[in-house]
Amino acid sequence: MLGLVMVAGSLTAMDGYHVAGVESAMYIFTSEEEAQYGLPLGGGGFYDYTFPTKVPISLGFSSGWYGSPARKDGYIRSDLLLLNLNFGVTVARMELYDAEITLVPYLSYSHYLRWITTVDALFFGHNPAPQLGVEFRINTGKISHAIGLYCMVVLDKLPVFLPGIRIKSGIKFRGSE
Amino acid sequence: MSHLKHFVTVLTLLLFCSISLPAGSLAGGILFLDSDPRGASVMINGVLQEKQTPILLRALPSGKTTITLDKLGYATKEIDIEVVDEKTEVISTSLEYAYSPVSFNNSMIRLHDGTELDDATVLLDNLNYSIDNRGTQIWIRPKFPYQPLIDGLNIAIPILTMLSIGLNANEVTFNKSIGNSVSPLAITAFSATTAMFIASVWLNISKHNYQKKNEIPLERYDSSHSNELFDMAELLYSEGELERAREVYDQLINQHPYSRLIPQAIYRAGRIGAIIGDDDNANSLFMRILDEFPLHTIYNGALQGLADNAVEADNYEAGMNYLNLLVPIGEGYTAEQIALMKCMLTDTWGVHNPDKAADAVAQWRALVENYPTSSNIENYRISLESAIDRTPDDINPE
Repeated sequence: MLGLVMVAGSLTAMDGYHVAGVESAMYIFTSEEEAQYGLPLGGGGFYDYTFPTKVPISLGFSSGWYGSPARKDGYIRSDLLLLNLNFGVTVARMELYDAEITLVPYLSYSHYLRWITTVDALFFGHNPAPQLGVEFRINTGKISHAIGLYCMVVLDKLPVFLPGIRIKSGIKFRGSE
Repeated sequence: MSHLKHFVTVLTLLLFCSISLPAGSLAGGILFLDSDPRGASVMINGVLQEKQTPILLRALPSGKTTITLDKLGYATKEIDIEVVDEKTEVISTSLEYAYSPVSFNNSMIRLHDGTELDDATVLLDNLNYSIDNRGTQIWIRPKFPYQPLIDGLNIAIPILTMLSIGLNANEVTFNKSIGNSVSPLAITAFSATTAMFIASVWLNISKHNYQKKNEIPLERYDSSHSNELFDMAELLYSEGELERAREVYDQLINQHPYSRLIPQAIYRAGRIGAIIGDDDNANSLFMRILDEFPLHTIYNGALQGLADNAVEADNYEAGMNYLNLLVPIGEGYTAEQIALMKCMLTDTWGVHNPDKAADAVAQWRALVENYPTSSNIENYRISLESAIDRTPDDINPE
């Protein structure tokens, strides 16, 4: 915990923009009723840092809790703890009087921890699940909102593709402030 | 083509001739009126004119005339002039600052009633402007009428995002239905947050457009850089670097829309367009002069440019219409010179259209008769004889 506080402290001292906030996400409905990774939805927190470079680069971290509804002949409940590390590049930027709108494609390494509850047992598993997506951000003063479309690839025995949508909202602050 | 070259050559020569002769027949007086700053409302004997300064007024009744100039933030100015028939007047005047309802010091904004504020709102031209005191800077910007909506969305979006997370958690924890079913409430909260995000983007873009459209002209703070650009463009123009000069004029026009040098820059860019054969661009710039900046220094030049381009496109009627708008003023555009330009155009027109040959003869004859003491009278007589020779016998007025 102390290490985390120290990392956060040193990050916030850096120039550039920091945004910390909450995110809500839903994965697109799959047509398969009994899909092993059917319809996870949930939310969590995120932190993004944007370097003040000519082509702004973003590094981010997020963690969230997701769950899937029960399956007919499978589990009663499925919980996922998802941890992400993001790397994004601002490819388009529109400066307004009191706001800026940016388009940020990103690549993220995610890892999930999954608990599956069946009628008589609890199973645990984990897998890497990289994501590729694009975020549309609007920064207005001290507030930042974003909407992201992405595809997560669960690297199970057979890769599973889960397209999803997330909404982020957070507080923006400068490192030097 | 030789006729066309002849026409253009004579017009060019005439611009540099110094001929002082009485103006031709005109109904009423003509007035070029300009003010610093521009954009003042104009009343002539109490009648409000459609356009603001700079303005060209034709057919003014002769006699004592009162001109009233009015602009928000400036003292109303009255000017009395004596309008004389067939005479062109040029008035360029400065407006004085009027009483200002707001004053500033380093830390506060002080209103006229003594109230001191950090920030204030003032009403200018029926629009609210917010005045933000930023310590060393004062920001005066149009106040976006839907700003409360943007502020509201900035609060609502994070709240709704958290609500959406809560509903998602509730869904996973308590929804015992099997398969891909999610409660409408969770879907609605998520969709509403998405819609609010889109609304926030749309409102912020609208705000940007609104503020850009209504920003206060920065003419007075703009002069240094625009002067540099204009000087650079003039230098390039005089050295014959026309394309580069046009780029710099365009830069000035686009970057400093409130500079007082804009009319001259537009005119020069139009001249360059005409020289290098970009007639469409030249015409649109000359039309801007007629419409927005009818200044006595460039008005006739713009009309002449339009007439030249029309003649080059064999549209003689349009060319003549432009020449008919010329105002007799200065050495380059005396009534005699304007009459001569019309003779030249009709002459060229007559070559292509025999019906106009008789008109050309009539115009040359009128020129000879109206200006018998002109230093060019011999040339006029030769042109008249030449026009008569060219005219078919069956339509020759002789």
